[in-house]
Amino acid sequence: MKSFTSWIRKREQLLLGTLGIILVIAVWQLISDLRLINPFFISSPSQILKTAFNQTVNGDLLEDFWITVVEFVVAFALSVVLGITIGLLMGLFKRVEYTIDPFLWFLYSTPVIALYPVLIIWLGLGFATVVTLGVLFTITPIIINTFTGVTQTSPVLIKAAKSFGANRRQILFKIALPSAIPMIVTGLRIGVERTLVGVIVGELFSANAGLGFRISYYGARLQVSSLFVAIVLVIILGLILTQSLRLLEKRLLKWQEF
Amino acid sequence: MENKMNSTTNTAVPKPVSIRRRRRAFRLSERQGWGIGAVLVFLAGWELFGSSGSVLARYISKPSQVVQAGAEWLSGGDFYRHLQISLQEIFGGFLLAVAAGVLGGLLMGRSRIIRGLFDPLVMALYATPLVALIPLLIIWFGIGVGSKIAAVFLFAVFPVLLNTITGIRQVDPLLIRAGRSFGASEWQLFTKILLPGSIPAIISGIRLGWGKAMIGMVIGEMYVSTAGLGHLISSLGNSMKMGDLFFVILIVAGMGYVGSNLLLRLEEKVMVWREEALGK
Amino acid sequence: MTHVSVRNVDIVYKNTEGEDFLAVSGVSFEIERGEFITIVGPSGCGKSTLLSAIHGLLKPARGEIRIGDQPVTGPSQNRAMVFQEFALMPWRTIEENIWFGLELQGKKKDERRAAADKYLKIIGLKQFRKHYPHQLSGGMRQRVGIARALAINPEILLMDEPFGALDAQTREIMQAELLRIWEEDRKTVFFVTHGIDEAIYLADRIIVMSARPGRIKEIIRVDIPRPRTLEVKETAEFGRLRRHLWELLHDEVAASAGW
Repeated sequence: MKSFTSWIRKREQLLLGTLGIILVIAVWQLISDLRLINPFFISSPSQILKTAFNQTVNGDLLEDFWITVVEFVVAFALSVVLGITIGLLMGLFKRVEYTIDPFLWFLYSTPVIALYPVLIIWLGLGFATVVTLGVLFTITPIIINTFTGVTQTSPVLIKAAKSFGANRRQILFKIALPSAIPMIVTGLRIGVERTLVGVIVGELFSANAGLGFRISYYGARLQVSSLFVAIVLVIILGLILTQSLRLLEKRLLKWQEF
Repeated sequence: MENKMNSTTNTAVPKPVSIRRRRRAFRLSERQGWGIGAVLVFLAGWELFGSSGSVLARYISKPSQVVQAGAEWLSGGDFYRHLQISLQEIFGGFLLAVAAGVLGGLLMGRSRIIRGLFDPLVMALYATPLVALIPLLIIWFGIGVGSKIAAVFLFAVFPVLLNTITGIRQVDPLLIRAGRSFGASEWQLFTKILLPGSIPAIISGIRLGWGKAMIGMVIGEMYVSTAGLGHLISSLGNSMKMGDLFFVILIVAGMGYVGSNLLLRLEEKVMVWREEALGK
Repeated sequence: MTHVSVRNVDIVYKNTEGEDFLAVSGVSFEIERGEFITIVGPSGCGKSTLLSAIHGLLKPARGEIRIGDQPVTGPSQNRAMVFQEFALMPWRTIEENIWFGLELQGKKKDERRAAADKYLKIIGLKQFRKHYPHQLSGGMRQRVGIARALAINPEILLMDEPFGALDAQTREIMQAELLRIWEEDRKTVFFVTHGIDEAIYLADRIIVMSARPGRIKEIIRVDIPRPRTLEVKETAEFGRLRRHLWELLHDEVAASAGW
């Protein structure tokens, strides 16, 4: 009996979490079946599963899922490349920092989505607009974190490198960049979440495919079950992406103290 | 210079204060110079390009047009109606979010069990783009103010909740032990130690929540609404009234900035009080 | 034979408010090849600044520093520094940290590995070659710092309070270790320290500096024969030197603390 209680104690959070999820699903199903709330508004877990199954079999659910994933990857990749480059340039050259700073701040504070009519005119509905929105959402934290990481390089390490005869290029690549990686990775983690938001928002407003589009489509037609299916997929996608990045973070940063 | 340095004091003789102050007032720092310069160049370029006859120019407006539109809007009644609705939505949703977030955070922060039960749900929702839930909110609460308040609530509640939880959990266990050793009841521990100790984190969460609240309001209104700043953004954008559109965007950005700033100052003030209290 | 010659050197430093102050004033001395020199003085007397100038990281405002017959114009791979905060790159393994200087010089992997092998053996950390700095204790990290400096085979070793961040026992052990490693090669060493015992134990000669602006108060010769075990710290001669140094520094330390 003693070993059982200690086994439970160790996994307490895990068990409670699972219990919590099961409770929510059970209560949800119950409320729906007993019609305590009109199932029209909240659907039910069983109904959602059924709908999901049908839509998968018909093929278009997975197709939209895939489209969202592709848009995400492209937007994220672009954001990372552009963001890190700009952040580096800002960190290296004070003048670049001073010039870009006000625009960066503005981009950070504005609701980027407000510009979507302009983007639609330039780039049309669909892929290009969604990706652009994703990039605009994401690029700011990546730039800021890269910049901070590079400029906060420990002066002692720089002095040490100089004392061994390092030139400016060597200091950049062998000291500044590696020491900035933890901050850059944090920026990437924030960026992953923001890219997903940007892509979904883009699809919601200005696409004709993808999970965001499905949400908009079924929302307008009041088809709550299908709506929930799309929402759940978005949640799952979000979880997959954040966890993957967490793993990547651990791999890259194995030299840090924990 | 050398003679003064021969003394055994550690610092150089500082310049007289009056001379230092005057010098500083006349010079812009290099950082400000380049920044302001860049913005001016940008505005000038925008104005020039917007004045050219090209097709694209029509789609991006120009600064003078934005100012003009702004003047018109500010003098009319329509703008303030929309502003009022947006403000109602934001404050309504935000206050609800703060209440729920702090309350929920206190409960979850204090009790392992409650935290364990709700953690996966909270984390799953926190990791999702909440915009995806807006159409659902519209179905539940209609196209009017209700769904926007719900959206603001949804967006703002998570930072508040999570920061409150962290705030409660990071209260120095030593203080709690000390309180217990003086015979404090659970309620007293809560009100006199845990709550005050977590206030900086809570305020930080509230500040972050404000930013999210604005986003929730704007996106909610842009998606479906009958009035409000987001509604304006959507309709102006669709009818390509770019000058007006940029003006409204500026207003929204301004609101976000002002709110954040005020809350930041509050946060800093609380930190100062805390330092002083701890010092005593 | 004179290895390092410092003549009438003034060094000017910028403090955090951007104002100039004189850190080191009118310093002159000549060092022979293979001498172990320790530099002692109160906080802020400019000893680290002087070290940086000898290395070439700083330029004196006045005066001249020569090594051999060449004036010092910048850092050179003829000299290597060891830092109080270790300054190891946390993202590099011990091995990779040791060959850092060689990597900067463009040496190939085999050469670098061979050098790392050699110095890992000398400092006795061979089995930690693939470890990261955070997995090592302070003393071990500084051994790596020393190995890194030795790996480029410099003529001069510049050590800036290298044992300042270590606890008392580790410090003593490291002093003996350092002398053991040094005896193999007898490079010219400049060792900056706060500690009187440390200064005497390690040195052939001790440069005693005054409070800021740093001037040379006295250069003391230490005639205790080598090799020296830690026990020499108990001898009468050591005690005499200790008292002498203490008297010299006493006033300076009090002055720089504002008495």
